[in-house]
Amino acid sequence: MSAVADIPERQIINNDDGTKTIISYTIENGTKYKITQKVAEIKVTEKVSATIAERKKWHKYGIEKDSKPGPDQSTTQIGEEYIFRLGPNWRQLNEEAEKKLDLERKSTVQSIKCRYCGGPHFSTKCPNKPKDGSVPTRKTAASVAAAAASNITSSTYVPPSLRRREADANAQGIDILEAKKREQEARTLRLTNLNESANKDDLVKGLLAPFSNSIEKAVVVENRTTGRSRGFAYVTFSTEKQAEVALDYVDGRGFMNLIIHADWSQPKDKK
Amino acid sequence: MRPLALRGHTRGITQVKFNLEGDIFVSAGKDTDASVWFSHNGERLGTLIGHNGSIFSVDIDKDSKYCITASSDETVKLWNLKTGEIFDEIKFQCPVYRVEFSPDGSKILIVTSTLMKSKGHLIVHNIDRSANIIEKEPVFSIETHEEYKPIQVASWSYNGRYIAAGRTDGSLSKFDGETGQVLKHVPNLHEDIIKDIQFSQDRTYFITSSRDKSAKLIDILTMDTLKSYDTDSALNSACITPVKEFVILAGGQDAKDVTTTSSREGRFESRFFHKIFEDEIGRVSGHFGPINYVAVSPQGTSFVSGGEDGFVRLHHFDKSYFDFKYEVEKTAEAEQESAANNGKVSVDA
Amino acid sequence: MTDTLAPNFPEIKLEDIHVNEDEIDFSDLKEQYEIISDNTSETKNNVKLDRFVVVDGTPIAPESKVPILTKVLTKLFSQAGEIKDFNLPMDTEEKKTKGYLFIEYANELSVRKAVKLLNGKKLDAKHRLFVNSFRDLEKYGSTENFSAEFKEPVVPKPVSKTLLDSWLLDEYSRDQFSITRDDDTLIAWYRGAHKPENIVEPRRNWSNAPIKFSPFGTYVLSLHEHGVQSWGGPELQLLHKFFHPQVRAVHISPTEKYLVTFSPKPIMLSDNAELNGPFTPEMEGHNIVVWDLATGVLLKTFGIPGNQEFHWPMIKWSYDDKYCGRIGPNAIAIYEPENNFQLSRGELLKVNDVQDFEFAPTGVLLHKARKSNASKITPEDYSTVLCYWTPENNNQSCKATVMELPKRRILRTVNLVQVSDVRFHWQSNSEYLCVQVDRHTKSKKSIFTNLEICKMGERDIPVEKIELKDHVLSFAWEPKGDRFITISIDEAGRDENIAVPQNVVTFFAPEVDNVTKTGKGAAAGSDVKSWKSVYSLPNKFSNKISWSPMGRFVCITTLIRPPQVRNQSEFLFYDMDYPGEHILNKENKTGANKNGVNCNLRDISNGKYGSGTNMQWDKSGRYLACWSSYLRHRVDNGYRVYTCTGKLIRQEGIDGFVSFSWRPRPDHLLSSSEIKKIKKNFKEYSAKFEEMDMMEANEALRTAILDRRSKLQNWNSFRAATQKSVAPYKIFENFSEVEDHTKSLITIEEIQEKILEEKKEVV
Repeated sequence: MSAVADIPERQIINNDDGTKTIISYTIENGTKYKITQKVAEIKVTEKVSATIAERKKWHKYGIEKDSKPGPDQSTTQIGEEYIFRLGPNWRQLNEEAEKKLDLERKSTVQSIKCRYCGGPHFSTKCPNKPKDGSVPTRKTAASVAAAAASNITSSTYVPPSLRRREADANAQGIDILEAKKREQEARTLRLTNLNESANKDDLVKGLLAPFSNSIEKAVVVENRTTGRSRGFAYVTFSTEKQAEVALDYVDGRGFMNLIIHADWSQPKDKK
Repeated sequence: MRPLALRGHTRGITQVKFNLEGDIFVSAGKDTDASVWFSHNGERLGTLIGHNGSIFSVDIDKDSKYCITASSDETVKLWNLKTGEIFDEIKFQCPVYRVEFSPDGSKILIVTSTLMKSKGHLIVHNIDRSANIIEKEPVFSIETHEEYKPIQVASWSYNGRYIAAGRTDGSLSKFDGETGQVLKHVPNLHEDIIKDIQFSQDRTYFITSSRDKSAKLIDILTMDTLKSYDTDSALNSACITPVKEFVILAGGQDAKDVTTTSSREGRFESRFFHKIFEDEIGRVSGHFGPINYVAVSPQGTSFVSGGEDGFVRLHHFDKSYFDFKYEVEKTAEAEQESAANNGKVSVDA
Repeated sequence: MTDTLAPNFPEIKLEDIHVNEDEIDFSDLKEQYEIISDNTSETKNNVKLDRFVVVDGTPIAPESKVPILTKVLTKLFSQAGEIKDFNLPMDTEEKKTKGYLFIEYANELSVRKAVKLLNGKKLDAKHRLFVNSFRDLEKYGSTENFSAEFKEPVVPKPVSKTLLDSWLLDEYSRDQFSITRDDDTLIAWYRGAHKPENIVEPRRNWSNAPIKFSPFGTYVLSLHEHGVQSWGGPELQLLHKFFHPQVRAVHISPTEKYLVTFSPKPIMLSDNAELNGPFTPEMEGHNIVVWDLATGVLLKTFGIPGNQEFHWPMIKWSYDDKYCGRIGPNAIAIYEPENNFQLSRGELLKVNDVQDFEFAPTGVLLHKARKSNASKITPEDYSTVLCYWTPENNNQSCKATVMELPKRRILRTVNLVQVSDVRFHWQSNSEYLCVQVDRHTKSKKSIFTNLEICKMGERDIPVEKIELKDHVLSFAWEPKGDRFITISIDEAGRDENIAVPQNVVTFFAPEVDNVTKTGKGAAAGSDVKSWKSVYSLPNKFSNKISWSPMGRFVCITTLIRPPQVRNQSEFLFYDMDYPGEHILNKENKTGANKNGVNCNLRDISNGKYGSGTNMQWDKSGRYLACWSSYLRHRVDNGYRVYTCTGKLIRQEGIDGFVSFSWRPRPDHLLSSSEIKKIKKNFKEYSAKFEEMDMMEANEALRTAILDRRSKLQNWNSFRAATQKSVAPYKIFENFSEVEDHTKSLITIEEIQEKILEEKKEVV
């Protein structure tokens, strides 16, 4: 139990936006970890029996008399995600799952993100904080576009079609580059339900072999951290016509045990 | 699965019990107050203040009207679960180890300790549900027979028909729930003290857990051992999960034997076994000290564990828990289904 | 090998060992050594006869010389005790003594003393005395019990070797291992991830200490209060008993010929001959017994020089068992076991102040015996070599000496200065001898180490010196290879806080002339110029280097060794010849060998196991067993088996687990060309083995499924029966009611906390 004493107290920081940041420490296999959680109180609705609903209305008593509704951080702490896999080979299952979780954790290391500049620090400490103290709304289209353009801070993949629309919303005028990009997207197909083990070569030399001469670019979208395919791809053809032929050919075709779904990478205006 | 760690006690937890609908559970510890919790979000409804000593045992009746507690202050108290007020109490001559409502809520069984020169009793009292009192005259009170070792734990069978009682030497007795007559005695079931007995949902069979590192599934009708689960750690508690055919075993080394700091090393884990196949199929860790009690909600959707570290950990099972089945089970189900379908067809024809 | 055979005394406390003497069957021992005594009724006479000795071989003297002869002999025999009667019979016709006499002593003890002291004593050049107790003479000399015909003495026959080796002919070439748990010991076939198949069901109190295997696994030895028993053959039946009361340590010579047992209780003969087993009076006071392992015959006993500390093994053997030696004050005694344990060359090897010596583990191919054509080398070309060291004293410096037997030719002497300790590390093929010299600084405050590596196969045995600033705690040669690893600590810069990991693991590899030569093939002595540290791991708790017996793979380990601050073990697997990228000892971590070092080091696995206290490779280097003994660690006892690449194959948690031991096997008999052939057809073999694995797995799966199916059926019928018998109570109907009333649902709102972001980092 002495180890527990070595662990610093939990720290709860009430953030401006009503969320809480909880910093706690834990020791696992002799290594000390710091866990930072950002917690929000949310309301969930649920269907329950009349008796249970009745009990929900009970007033608190004892030490909890007059406590406000909802769980209290001092007594109710959200634990760490626990991987619970059942099976006679549970040890292996757990180890595999743990590895996966580790990877995910690594990928979210940069998870503290400033609401002003997107940097890895708390918003309150942002050097670029606006003087008027205005709080940005949740992810405006503009910020997403900016993120997409810089492509550094954004951790999620923004498909080309969305990028374009954001750019539109930006209303900065369409320059030549933009126009070219639009034109390019007009001849791009989005293939979904791809087998995850299919790579670019499989696609170009296999599925799309009849069009291999007219393929300008093919990108299989991958998970940034694991490097695994996310099961969809963008293929740009030399002409829109070619793309259309390919669309007819590919859509609904079986490839590596899966039925491919193909569509334009952006919604086509009805012609 | 993301467990909730509930810090409502300053000392080790002794028992945790769900109500019938599983929306509320109550925890008792070596400090003097019991805590009542909502199981959905881990919010504390309140605390039951009134005892002057460790609370060893706690229970909620079937209507979630009452809570009952047994304490080292030699009293058993009946509480209003809604308000946290004391309805009634009954005084004994020695600390009380166990208390439990009969399934219909009309009676309570009480196991008293062997401290203070007492030989240990198994006592049943009626509850007057209209007056909200414990009837002072017991239905019966049985002193430990001199041939047997004292009772440590006891629990009601279906309809309150029998009482299964585990003794300090690992033997097991079956009493008539009406008269207190010993119907059967099973010597040497375990090699060490039986620390817990919990019935199945239908209360026709139960699981014992012992410091001899094993748990056993017993049929209350025949008192035959149906299954046995062996572990490498002394057990304090075990329960049978509804919905899934599992049992959960928990325990751990005494604090004095524990040299390592890591919870994983110290084996403070709830172990899941397949009830029928007796294989260990998973573990849940998280406690820093031995686990004193595990309970599963009657709906089978969550389980709580109470540890010597003072934490109650509440776990809601995820989908993967419910999805898990052995191939053999899947096959058997498929066969059953097709048999049922065939039956239907023939009726239709 | 000595590691695995010598018992670890700290593990076993005498008081912890419970032996039920009734369970040990010594009837055959008794039978063997029982001396048939005629159950006579002449008790009175008996007592008297026991006090007589008969002395033969006295001079036949004329009457006139009788007084002086009597005087001389009385004086001589008084040494053994008080003489009651002295009877020198005279030939009355010849007036001469008869050449023999009778002496009656006051007590029986004197009789035995006289026999011991004076039997075979030379009175003068012509006369040798033969002293026997009268009882013996009566027993052996009486013509009734004695047949004049010569009968071949019955020598216990060794059990047939083929029978003993039958376990090696396992269809699946599986390994065997033994497990000790509490007082139970079992021996089982290792079956990968599957449950081991017991060969010997758990035997309670089979052995006081965990059982021992002989170096080639032929014999299994168990220790008992009264001696050692050997077991073998397909059923592991009892082969022989070696009577040695309170035996505490056993050691088996390298070729499994001899068994050495040690008991802290010196041999004492009792009056009751039954209790003396094979011991004879001249063995009294000895603690060490050498036996013929195959037949159980006692060969030789040794005492321990009074001031000598106990170390084990006390008798060391040359690789071929032709010589054995033990250290004494200012000398090494070298015996020739085949020559009745006579001293080699009839004399001690006198070395002033000798501290320790070590035989080479194999025959040494010295430079003079080297031939250009390897196939021409015969077993005779290999020499028996030993090394020893002497410390600094007034007139000489500290010296390590390498000597060839039996001629005692000194091959090389290494002079050393400022030495506090010397340890010898032979490479497994005896190609190199590393003399680890622990030196103290001038202030004598800290210790640092020099490694002096003797290249045995080269002319005049050149010595390569490696000077380190650290104190080497542990050193290990790669078996059959030319690389080594050290665990060391910088004593001068040592942190007093023992919770700070400060051991350094260093990998050394030879620089090679020809960089194209890689792998173990380069280990041919003269290719090696010098050794270079290629990689080191600082800030470790590591305390054991455990090489695969086949080389290449090594496990750097932290074992739990109380009292120790860190109660956590660690098993790190390394490959010294990793074929891929990310080589640790290369700067760019890719590509081939650029700096001329014969090593491609790569960490390959971390066998996450926190409670390990011991470990052992199986002899083929396929598996590494790690276990947690409850004698050293309180919780999480049991064992784990890893492949040589650190993949966990099997684990079992067993309460009260004590020890694990692989059964060793003899070296394989394959020639290098045969090995090459196997490697070439590796795919074919592996396909075959995989198929076998699959079949076995399927079989195991099938049984498991059938078992589960029947369990499920039984359970369902049990439930059906219960439902039937409790039907009147309608308990099952009550459940559906509960479900029913939950159907009238109301929507409620509830506050829950939700985690938006979470991160976990090491502090």
